[in-house]
Amino acid sequence: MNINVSEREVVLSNELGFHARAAALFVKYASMYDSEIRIQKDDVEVNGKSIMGILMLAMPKGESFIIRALGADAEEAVEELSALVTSRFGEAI
Amino acid sequence: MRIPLALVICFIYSAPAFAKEWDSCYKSYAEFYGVDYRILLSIALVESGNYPYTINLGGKAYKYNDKEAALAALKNLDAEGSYDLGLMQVNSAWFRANDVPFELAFDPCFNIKFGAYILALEIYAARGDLTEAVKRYHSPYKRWQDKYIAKILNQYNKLQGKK
Repeated sequence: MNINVSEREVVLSNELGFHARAAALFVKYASMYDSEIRIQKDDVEVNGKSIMGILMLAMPKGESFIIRALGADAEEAVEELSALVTSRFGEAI
Repeated sequence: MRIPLALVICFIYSAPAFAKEWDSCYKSYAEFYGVDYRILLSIALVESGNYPYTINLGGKAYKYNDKEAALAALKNLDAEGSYDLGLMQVNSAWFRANDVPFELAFDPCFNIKFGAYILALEIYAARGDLTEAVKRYHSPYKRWQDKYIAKILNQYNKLQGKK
């Protein structure tokens, strides 16, 4: 069986980085997809549908990481989640 | 499995010098997780003497002279065993539970980040009670907690005034 895999590297450009509110927002959107969502920073990969997992990475502004999705709607998930990050989670500049 | 004694290195080191070296890591992760960086530093000083290549097994601390030696010792340990690793003495169970490679245990900044994350979780679990959270960071058992928090507070008081 083929599993769709999609991934993209993104940079955190919002002032506070991947703080609790941003992580909660990311998880909210990630959970809308059937695909497994993973976030990779260097050698550590966490569940993109877990706030605790994301907060473990403690990523400030300027850090880059990989969003990876595995599943039928992988491409769509990566597209939207990348847009969420690059739009600074809706935060003001 | 016991750590081979031959790998245990006797050494003399200066904790204040190490503290200065990783000061920026303590400060940045303390800020990220919203805790006083002197608390993180106090934990590291009490747990490992702020020495990154420390493994604690069965209550005994083993110090290695570099990352490679610490990793070599780690490979001789029971893969499912319980031991505390690095600056913040993060227990092996945390690495397994979070799929974090054990190799990162001896990366000082990562270890500080992992320790700060665990402390933040404990603060949340303790509903904001920092003293209770620090106790839990060390052990879930009360018999170990009281002695530990006394050491931390003593260390913290020594750091008061440090910017």
